[in-house]
Amino acid sequence: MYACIYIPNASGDSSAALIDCATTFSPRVESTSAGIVVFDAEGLERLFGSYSEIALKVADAARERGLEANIAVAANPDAAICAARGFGGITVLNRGSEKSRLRDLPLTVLAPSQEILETIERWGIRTLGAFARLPAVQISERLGQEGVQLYKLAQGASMRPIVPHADALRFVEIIELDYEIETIEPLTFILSRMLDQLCSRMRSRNRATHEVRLRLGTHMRVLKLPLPVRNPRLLTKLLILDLEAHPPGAAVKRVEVEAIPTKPRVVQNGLFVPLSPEPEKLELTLARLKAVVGEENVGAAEILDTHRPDAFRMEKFHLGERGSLRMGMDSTTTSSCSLSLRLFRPPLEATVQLRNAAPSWIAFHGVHGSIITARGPWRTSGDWWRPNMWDREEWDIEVCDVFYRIYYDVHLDRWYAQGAYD
Amino acid sequence: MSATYVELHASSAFSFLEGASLPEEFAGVCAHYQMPAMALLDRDGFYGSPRFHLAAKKAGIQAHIGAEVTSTRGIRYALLAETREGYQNLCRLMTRMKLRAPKGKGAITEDELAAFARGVICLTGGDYGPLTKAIPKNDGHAELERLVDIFGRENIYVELQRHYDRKEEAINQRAITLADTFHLPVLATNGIRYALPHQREILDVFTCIRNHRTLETAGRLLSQNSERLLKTPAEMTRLFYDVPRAVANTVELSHRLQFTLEDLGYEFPKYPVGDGETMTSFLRKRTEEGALSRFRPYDEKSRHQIERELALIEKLKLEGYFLIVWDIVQFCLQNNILIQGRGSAANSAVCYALGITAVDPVKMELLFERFLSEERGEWPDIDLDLPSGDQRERAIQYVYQRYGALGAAMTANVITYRGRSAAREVGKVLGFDTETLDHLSSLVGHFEYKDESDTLEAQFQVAGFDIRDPRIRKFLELCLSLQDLPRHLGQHSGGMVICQGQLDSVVPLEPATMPGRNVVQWDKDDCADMGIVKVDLLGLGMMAVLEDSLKLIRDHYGEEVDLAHLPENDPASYAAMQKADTVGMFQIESRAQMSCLPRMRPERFYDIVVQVAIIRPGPIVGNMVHPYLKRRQRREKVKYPHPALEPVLKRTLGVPLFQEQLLRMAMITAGFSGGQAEELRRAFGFKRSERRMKEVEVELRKGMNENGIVGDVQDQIIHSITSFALYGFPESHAASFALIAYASAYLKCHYLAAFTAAMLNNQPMGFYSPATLVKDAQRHGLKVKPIDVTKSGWLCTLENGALRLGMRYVKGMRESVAHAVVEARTRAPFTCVDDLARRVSDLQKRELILLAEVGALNFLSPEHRMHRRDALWQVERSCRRTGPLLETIDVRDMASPLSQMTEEERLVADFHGTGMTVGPHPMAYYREELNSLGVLRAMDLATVLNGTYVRVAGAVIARQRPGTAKGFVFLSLEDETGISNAIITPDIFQQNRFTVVGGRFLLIEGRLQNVDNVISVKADRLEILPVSEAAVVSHDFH
Repeated sequence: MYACIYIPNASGDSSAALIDCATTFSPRVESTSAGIVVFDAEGLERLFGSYSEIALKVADAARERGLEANIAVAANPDAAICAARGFGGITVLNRGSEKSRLRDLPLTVLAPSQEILETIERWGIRTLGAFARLPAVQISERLGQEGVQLYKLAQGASMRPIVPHADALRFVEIIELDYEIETIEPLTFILSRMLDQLCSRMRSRNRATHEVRLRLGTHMRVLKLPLPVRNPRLLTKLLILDLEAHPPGAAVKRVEVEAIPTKPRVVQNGLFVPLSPEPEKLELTLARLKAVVGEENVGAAEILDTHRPDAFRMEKFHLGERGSLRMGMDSTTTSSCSLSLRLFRPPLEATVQLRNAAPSWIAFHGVHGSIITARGPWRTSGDWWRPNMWDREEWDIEVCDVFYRIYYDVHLDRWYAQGAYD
Repeated sequence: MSATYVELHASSAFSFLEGASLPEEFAGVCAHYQMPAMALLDRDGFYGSPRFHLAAKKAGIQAHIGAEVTSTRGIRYALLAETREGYQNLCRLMTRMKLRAPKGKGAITEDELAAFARGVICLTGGDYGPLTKAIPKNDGHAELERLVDIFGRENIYVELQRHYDRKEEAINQRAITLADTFHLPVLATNGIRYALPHQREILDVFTCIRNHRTLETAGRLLSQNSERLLKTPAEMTRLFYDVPRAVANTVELSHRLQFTLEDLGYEFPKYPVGDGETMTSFLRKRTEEGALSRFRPYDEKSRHQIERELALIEKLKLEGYFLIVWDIVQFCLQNNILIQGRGSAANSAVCYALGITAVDPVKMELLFERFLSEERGEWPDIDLDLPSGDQRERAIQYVYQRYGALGAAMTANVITYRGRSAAREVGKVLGFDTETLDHLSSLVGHFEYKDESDTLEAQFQVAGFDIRDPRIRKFLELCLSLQDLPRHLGQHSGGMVICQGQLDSVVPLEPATMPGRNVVQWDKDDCADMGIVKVDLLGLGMMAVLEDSLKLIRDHYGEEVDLAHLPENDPASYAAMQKADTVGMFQIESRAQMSCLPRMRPERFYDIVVQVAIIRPGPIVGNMVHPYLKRRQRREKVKYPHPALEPVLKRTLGVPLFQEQLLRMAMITAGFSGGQAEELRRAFGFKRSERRMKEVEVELRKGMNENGIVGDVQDQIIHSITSFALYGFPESHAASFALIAYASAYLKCHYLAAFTAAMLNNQPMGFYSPATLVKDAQRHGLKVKPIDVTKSGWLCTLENGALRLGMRYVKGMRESVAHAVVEARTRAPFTCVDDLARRVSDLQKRELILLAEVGALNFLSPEHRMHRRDALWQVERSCRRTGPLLETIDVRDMASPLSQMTEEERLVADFHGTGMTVGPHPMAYYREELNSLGVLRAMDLATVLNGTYVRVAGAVIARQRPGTAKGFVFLSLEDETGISNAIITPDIFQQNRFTVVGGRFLLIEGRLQNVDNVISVKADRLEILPVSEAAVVSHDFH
């Protein structure tokens, strides 16, 4: 006999709970589809009582997990599924009674393809009983193999073995400590041991990881790696550097490390490709830099595609192909700049005096004096649909034999020195 | 004004998504800045030029014409027309590039540029200008040399634009050096794309739409700043302080540009006549010939009118125009294509004599000035109605063939941004998700009537947008700014322009989406404004119905019906009209018409003319309908606003109903001339302007005062004229339509089967769905047979006096397959479904299923009649082919184990598969229950007293919320006995919105209004009835 647990309108995340519920009764569980599991209930009477009692207990177990399920028990898995889909609550179909019990159920319990369902409905067939009464050979002529299979299901006569559910590969190490750890140093030793274990398991399964999750009590860190890694020393170093930047808020009594598996990296360097730093080492260096200067200040600057001056964002640094152009840098931009501009970051606030609407005197950050020449204004404005729109007028000026770029922020009504020309 | 600067490089919104202001805005701002002239250079066309020209004329500035023309190298040449030859060269150049490329594409080659360079001045700048492109690459010297070779040294201006951009300035400095080297003049322009600073936002939105980006992802495609606006001469002088000659040269060049659109050089084609003939003599002969046969009698009055018209036609040199239209009519007559002139042409006795129109204007006393007037100085407008579809296309192709592909073209139709399209596209650009935008679009009103709350702002609020949110506020602002800006160019439904010589030297031509057609870059108003004569070849569904009916009558009744000589005053036709039994009849079938007909009780042709014209917004808004009907029923005395108006208003019992009457009223009471009166009509017409209306009203009052018409009488006459001018129907037009209406009534009353078949074969058209037409015909005794693959063709046909539905009514069936079925069965009858499927290999499973579902396969086997499910059972097997080896084995298991469809199932299948049923009406199955609920049948209502509280029920076949009805909704319900009408007040509508809009079968309770045999129920309560799942279709009028 087989039991089916069915959650009407199941959401995606209920599958794990359903499997969990079914495995408490039987080791042979099939995760049939979203919201449906079937398990082999043969021989469970000795443990849990009659099939009705088993069904009741399964319903209780599901309810404990917050699931309102229909439970059906039948001699074959598909009849159990049909009954669970078609009848609310608990249903037990005695061996041989499947056809008569299922006959009034609608065709949808068979979950046929849309095309076949429409065909059968066009025939005016609405129930399994009506479908089961049609001549088998002619069904085969009209609906093919799928029709024949549905026809058997409608008669409750399908027999197939279930396909047992197998656990997915997980690489997790957990240590419950007898004592609390309050500093990073002892943790290094523990983490190193755990990661050794994990990496050795991954190696045996030909796997590496691109994401390591570390749980220290309630403190959780996720280490995302740009490439698959299974070097325990590297992983330990990276985790420790990360922990130094983001230490746990309380003493640690439980350590859990999970490595998300992926296929290992296979690299064949080209014979004539110049050597670049090993990715693992680069990752370590970047992690060290982040620990020193802050995460947001490490990476590769990417120039944004906008007219907004000096707009860029920091992207994660990775070794790309040499010679590729960065977004936002086209040939016209580069060729038109004959001078280099050394930018002040952030721009320096300036005091400017105007004559005939052009700057004539300036003072900023130790520089002050009359402006010998001023070219401009060069106007840019944009992002008018955003709260942080901009509107500014730039000037190129010469003060004390040095050329500067200054600008007037129209919204802030302030002058800034943006940089000096080399 | 003393000019210091003239803007000579502007792109308007007619550069389609590359400019953000209308030409009129440019002209307005330009005049405000006291600039004496301006040049419009839209991308690859003169799309906005006529509007710019007219607006500039009005504003007192000179409009220079030019275009930015794209080359195959990606360069855009800013070209100005210096002379008419230059303009014509540009027209030809752009026509050439457009006609050889798909719509919206096309580019010129450099060789072509050289061939069409005479009379053209080239500016070198602009974002994609030749020097702007060349200087960063190779200093521009060679490029400038090339331009000098093409255009000549005196026709090149080195253009400088300053938008406060470093890169641009570097190019400018090099351009100045080059100009010095070549001794060429420099020219300052601002390369403007909008008139006012805030319109930069619209330009950015357009840029996103054009590049399929959002504002967030458009990056540097967007404008760098807001400097591409029209600047004042002072600003431009300041901006070019270091090159003052660049500014001064703009004024000098403006003086050089002599060409304006006043000097278009358009000539209507001459009609070729034989030796010894002139167009005048030829026209006179054709008119005389026609007059003798058509005027009955051809009396002195008619002769006099024809002579008067011919004299004016000759004076205005319009003989060619009349002969060309006559030629089109002749072509149609020779090819058995029904054709009839409508509109103001029906006022002309010459048009009647030439067979262009079908109404005798002399007998009808129609006003010729409405058609043609010396004072107006514009071309007459002749609209020709043709059967919609292939026949109309034949007439259009004839015109192309006669005048050449470059001699004739369709007029354009400028598609502009409206509420829904603006909201959708701006929403996308701002990054709103599709679902939200779909929701918003669905809320933009469907019905014609919009209450005050139906603003875009209100629609935003209903869609759940908080308009206080700055982002939403911006969304709304942009949507409003986009209203009426051009989006793309479409094709007008029937307007054709023809030219003596080459039309492509008058206006650029483009390929239309429809193969074999060209379209000019101007819409019909632009063409009219530019003095280009137009002939409208309009498709009219009813003309096609009449034509098809005549053919069916000829083939099946063996009778020849001549529409030109139908029996006058046919009693059956008038009896049907008096009973409002007019489903399917042209122009008099709508619910509003039906509610008027029993009161009107038409007895002669002129009553139909009035009937066609009376149910229009003009008479309704002007409160003319009730006074007219009361006077007709002799319940009110006929009186005239002023005794002098009696001759004008006598025929309509003292109530003005036609446009001609208001013109004559103005002529009589205010002493207007014919031309002035026509001006009045235009002032109050669709392109009305408050200022112009006020001016005309002042003139009217002045004239009336002079004639001693003052006080209330004056106010009353003014009210009639002003409320009427916009929507009033011309009497001539009404008369043309009345002829078609009478013909349709006659055919329906005497040849119901042929008429109904023709109506069904020309759907969609008219007021009612095919289902209603079929039920109406059945109630009139016509036997309608279902679709049957052994009998039906693609179209509906006649079978021994009965109507056989055609396979065109099987939804999703392909016409070619239906023809293949007919062809196969003429070789040998089908024996079973397998046989059908095997012999018509194009039949797809989907089509076979559809045919089986609607019962079209029931009669396949001569010895065994199948039911629909038997057929469905066979279809499933037939569609699983067994392969060639077993295919020919005859397996005749006709019977199936399936049970027959129930009546409800058949009904659902009929409506789902064909949109109608030839069996009993769905309501008939429900009648017993309805009787128990006390629901009356539609036919019973006539015997119920006015004011009785009743219940009616039926399938909703029409919902209307007309703009003139102040929010009232009118429903038509159909049951097995006929149609009943219900009126729903705005309050009841608001309370039952879902029921009214969504219910297929309704039960309505309320008080019966039965006055003068006009019957309707004023609804108090509405309820959806669970009659059937059948998808009955209602025509909802928006």
